[in-house]
Amino acid sequence: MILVENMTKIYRNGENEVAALKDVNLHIRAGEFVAIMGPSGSGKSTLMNILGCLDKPTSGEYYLDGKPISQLDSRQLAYIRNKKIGFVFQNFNLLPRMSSLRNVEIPMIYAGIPPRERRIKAMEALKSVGLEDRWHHKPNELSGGQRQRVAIARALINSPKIILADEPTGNLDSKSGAEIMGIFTELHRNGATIVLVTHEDEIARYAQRIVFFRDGRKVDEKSSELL
Amino acid sequence: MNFFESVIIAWESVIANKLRSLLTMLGIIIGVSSVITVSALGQSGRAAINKEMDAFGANRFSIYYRYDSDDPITDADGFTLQDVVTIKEISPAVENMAPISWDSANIRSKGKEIGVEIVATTADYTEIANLKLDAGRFFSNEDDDAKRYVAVISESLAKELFSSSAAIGKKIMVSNRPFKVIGVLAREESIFSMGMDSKLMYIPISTYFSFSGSNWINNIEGKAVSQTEVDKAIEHSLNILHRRHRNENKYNAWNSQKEIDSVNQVTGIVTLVISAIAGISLLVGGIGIMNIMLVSVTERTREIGIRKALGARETDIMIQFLIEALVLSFSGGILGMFLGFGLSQIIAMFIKIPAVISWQMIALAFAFSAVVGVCFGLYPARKAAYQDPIEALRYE
Ligand SMILES: Nc1ncnc2c1ncn2[C@@H]1O[C@H](COP(=O)(O)OP(=O)(O)OP(=O)(O)O)[C@@H](O)[C@H]1O
Ligand SMILES: [Mg+2]
Repeated sequence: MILVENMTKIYRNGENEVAALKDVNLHIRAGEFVAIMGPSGSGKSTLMNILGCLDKPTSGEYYLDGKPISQLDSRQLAYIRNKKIGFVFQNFNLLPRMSSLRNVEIPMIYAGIPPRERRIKAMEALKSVGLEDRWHHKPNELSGGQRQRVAIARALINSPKIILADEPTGNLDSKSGAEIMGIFTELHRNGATIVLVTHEDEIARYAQRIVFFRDGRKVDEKSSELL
Repeated sequence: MNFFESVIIAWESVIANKLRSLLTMLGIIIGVSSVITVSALGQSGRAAINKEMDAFGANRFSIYYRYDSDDPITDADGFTLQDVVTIKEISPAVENMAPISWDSANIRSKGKEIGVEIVATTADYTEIANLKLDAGRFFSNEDDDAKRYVAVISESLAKELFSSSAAIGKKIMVSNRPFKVIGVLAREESIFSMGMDSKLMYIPISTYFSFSGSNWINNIEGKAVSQTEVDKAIEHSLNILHRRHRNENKYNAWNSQKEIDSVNQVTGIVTLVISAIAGISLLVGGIGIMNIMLVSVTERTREIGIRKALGARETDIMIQFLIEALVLSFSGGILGMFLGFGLSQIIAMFIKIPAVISWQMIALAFAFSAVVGVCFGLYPARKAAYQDPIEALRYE
């Protein structure tokens, strides 16, 4: 499902060059639940952004469902972000002026789903994360955990096969974090492929496999039972 | 993305920054409202003047003395009744003609004394000036030939002296001579009279000559056989007059077409100048919209990043921002339109010309706003659309 070959990402800021990813190879099968760990600055977010088709590698190739991403134009990338991948951010990235319901509706707008159907599906999605009574609240009227649940509902709304989560519990307390991980476990049980970045061992334990990064390189890989 | 929804989203963001949006729209508002006001008043002014001229008669002309020449006008240059008869006989372009002597006098009736204008003319004048009567009749050639002391008076004079209908048959004293009222003219509504009807008394010209001792004719009123023959009728009349009086450059003519042309020329220039001002303010308004849209794109970089991460295509983002620019310029256009309507109504009230608001003007206002919105919204919208998703997401 996800195949990364010899991937390198170099950031250039004028004279300075930072190699955020160095010759990374990674294979994630359909239905897998993978955690990515590593110290700050080791390139985890850089990898996730590339996997989410938000960014492009400097060299190497990323195959999604067997197709090389470098061959796609901006329209096709938008389609993948809309339908195939659900991205969950550490800082939620909700639109501040809109209600939870409207936020959850956004991916459906770009999928061309008519308003009535959107409203119904968004309401269902909010219900599934336990926020049906918060549908009219704006993000700043919600707790961090609630915001992340709205963001997850939004990421799941077009039923993507892959869920990418970059430190989804990073800004949450352990109780909210456990709630979020409950949702992910449920999704995984229903067949979703999940890639999740975390610093915490307890969170990583929910995954089947853990991949370690250091200084832009993949350094280790092991089953979560060994933690 | 659904067009209607984009409009709603754009409208919400316009409403969210009410003051800023209003200030942004100001240029468009001023531009559109000035276009509407000027064209509404220009059009109605022109219509009113044309109507006035039509009522006056497009075939009409008037011949008078040239007092601007070095050679003073003498008695020998004065129009005569025979001049009028001769011109009518000779020129095929002249349909009718009447001499006029103007005078003012104090008249008395039932102890009241009032200053009036006396218009001494022939029976033909009614036909030339298309005079309408409220009551009675105009004097005839017979009255004129017999030098009868009869008068036709204007409505306001009749009101002042008697009541309009009761005026017929009453006596008016002019220089101790009794004139019998045989007709009352209908009130004339004219933008030039500003609602005031002058106190006029029409009497036969021969009667006037015999009792005043003067036989000076102030001008000659003529009517050509058709509007296209007016120039010819004037040329014939002037030639005949100069030949008969053995002089040159003593007479001149005026006709309504000349007046219409000069009025149209002036209103044309005024319209052009104001249109230029409107054009400039629309340009400034457009730049204002572009400026605020660029600010908005920068402010909402993160939003753009989030939308792109959730599957928005470049065209989706572009349309969103373009529609926002259009909503701004259209709102400005609509506000400007109402302001323009209001302004033209207020000005119309003062100058007593009804404002004419046509659908063409409304279409023009909308077209202007649309063009401004698209032209000046396109660049910011493109800028928003082509942002790199990850850069946009990282934007603080
Ligand atoms: N836009 C950028 N421009 C320049 N350098 C960057 C940029 N983004 C990331 N980097 C650099 O790339 C390296 C990897 O960053 P990345 O964000 O992938 O780390 P991370 O593993 O996610 O760290 P953390 O756990 O703190 O989130 C870091 O050294 C960082 O400074
Ligand atoms: Mg990171």
